[in-house]
Amino acid sequence: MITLNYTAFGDQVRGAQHVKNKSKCQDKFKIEKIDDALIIAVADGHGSSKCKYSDEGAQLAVNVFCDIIASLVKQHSGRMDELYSYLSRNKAESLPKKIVQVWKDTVEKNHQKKSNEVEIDLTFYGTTLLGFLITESFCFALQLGDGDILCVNSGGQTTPFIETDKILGTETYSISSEKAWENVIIEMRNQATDEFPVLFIISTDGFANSFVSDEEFMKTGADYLELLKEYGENEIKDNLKNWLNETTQNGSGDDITLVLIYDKMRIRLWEKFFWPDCEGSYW
Amino acid sequence: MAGNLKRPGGELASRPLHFIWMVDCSGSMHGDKIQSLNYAIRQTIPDMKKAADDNPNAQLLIRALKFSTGAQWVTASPISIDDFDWNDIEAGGVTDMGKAFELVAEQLKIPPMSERALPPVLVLLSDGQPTDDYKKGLTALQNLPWGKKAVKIAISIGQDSDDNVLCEFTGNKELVLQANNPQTLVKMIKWASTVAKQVSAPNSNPSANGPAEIDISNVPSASDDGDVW
Repeated sequence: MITLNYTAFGDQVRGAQHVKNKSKCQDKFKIEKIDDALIIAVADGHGSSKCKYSDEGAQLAVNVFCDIIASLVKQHSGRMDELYSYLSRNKAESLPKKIVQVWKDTVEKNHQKKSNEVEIDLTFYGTTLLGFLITESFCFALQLGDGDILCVNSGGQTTPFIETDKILGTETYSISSEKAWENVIIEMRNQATDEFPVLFIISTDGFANSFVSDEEFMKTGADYLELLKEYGENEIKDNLKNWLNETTQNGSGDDITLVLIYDKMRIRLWEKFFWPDCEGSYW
Repeated sequence: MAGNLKRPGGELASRPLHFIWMVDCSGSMHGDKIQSLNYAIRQTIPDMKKAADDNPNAQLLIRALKFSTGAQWVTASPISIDDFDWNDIEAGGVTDMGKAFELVAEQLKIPPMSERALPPVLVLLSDGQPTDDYKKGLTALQNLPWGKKAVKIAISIGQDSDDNVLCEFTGNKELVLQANNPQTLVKMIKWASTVAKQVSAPNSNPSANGPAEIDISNVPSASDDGDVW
């Protein structure tokens, strides 16, 4: 049995404007550990008046992504190299199509159960989707719409894991649109050939939009890495909601979800190397 | 326990929202029209300040330009609505609308515009027909990424304005608002100023190729009561 070195945690807050307007949080996220893999999904329901059930659409999107990827992980249990090959072969078309189609089918079923409205407009449930899978040998990231997946190397250098063509303003690609799968971007990295980042950060667009510039946003990568090294996961968890609240209040006013995925072995090695007398405690 | 740690990441800021008045002050605007326009824009300031106070997550920045023989910025740079004041403008000259489009296009480039801004709002007020080659400036504006996403509203003052040109600017005839008398002009200018509040909401929409969508169901009806221009 190979042990996965990566672990993940995250939190979310309702946007300052949504609190003020008494509207729901439209962000949803899910972290699942299946066998020797970690699956993360983050979705940001559009929230505008014509997307009246987008919080539900976001929840269904994270469920669909996690279910599909979990099923693939189970089918390839102990054979992650085969899963890598499968995902590489299908990332361009059939996998994005499947995720979008299953989401649409699930939304239709959900709508029939809950509503007297005969007609369904998928836009009601419109959402973005960020999906991530990490195993001991590769990582896989999917993006449909806005939001960010950043990667941070051991020196703190932070770069986008997926480069997207950002749409200006408040519009975004949506899983609800026709041929939504065409707007899916997938990036994969194999540990055998590529250096694996020590930290990944997944966030909804309310986070990046809260910083005065891209440069200020990118500083989060090195800062979170330093905090992990110096204080560890629990200290970050204790503070994360407060930080996200401060960010939405002084920034975009939008809902914010932030998930950190990091290599706990490399962080522990760093602790032992730099703080050899302080294992298990901090001063 | 380390207690309260400092928030990771750099400097935070609300998102800028640029609102631009583009005012025709050609000779035909002389008299009642320019007086009503000056009065109406000044009247919008308290409501716009209140709207900005209600949403501290959007930084409402105002600019105004005037065009007649040539075009020039009335406010040299974008200023916070809190510091904005309206100084009456006077009418005289021809209608170089194309020059106005060119000035706005220069300011909607990235930079000086930021990619993280909210969609800008452009409000064009005119009572006449362009006397210059307006197509060149309009095309420059429409070809910019922010030019495409900007909410563009035109207020057609009186019965002599060229609504086809205004419609070319807005890309939507429903956003060409007719004002044939002082009362209606004030109502239309007030409504246009409220669009800033709509655009400042952080909610998203599925992508479309055109400008940011706004709700136009509450546009005041054009009234021909009273004096007609």
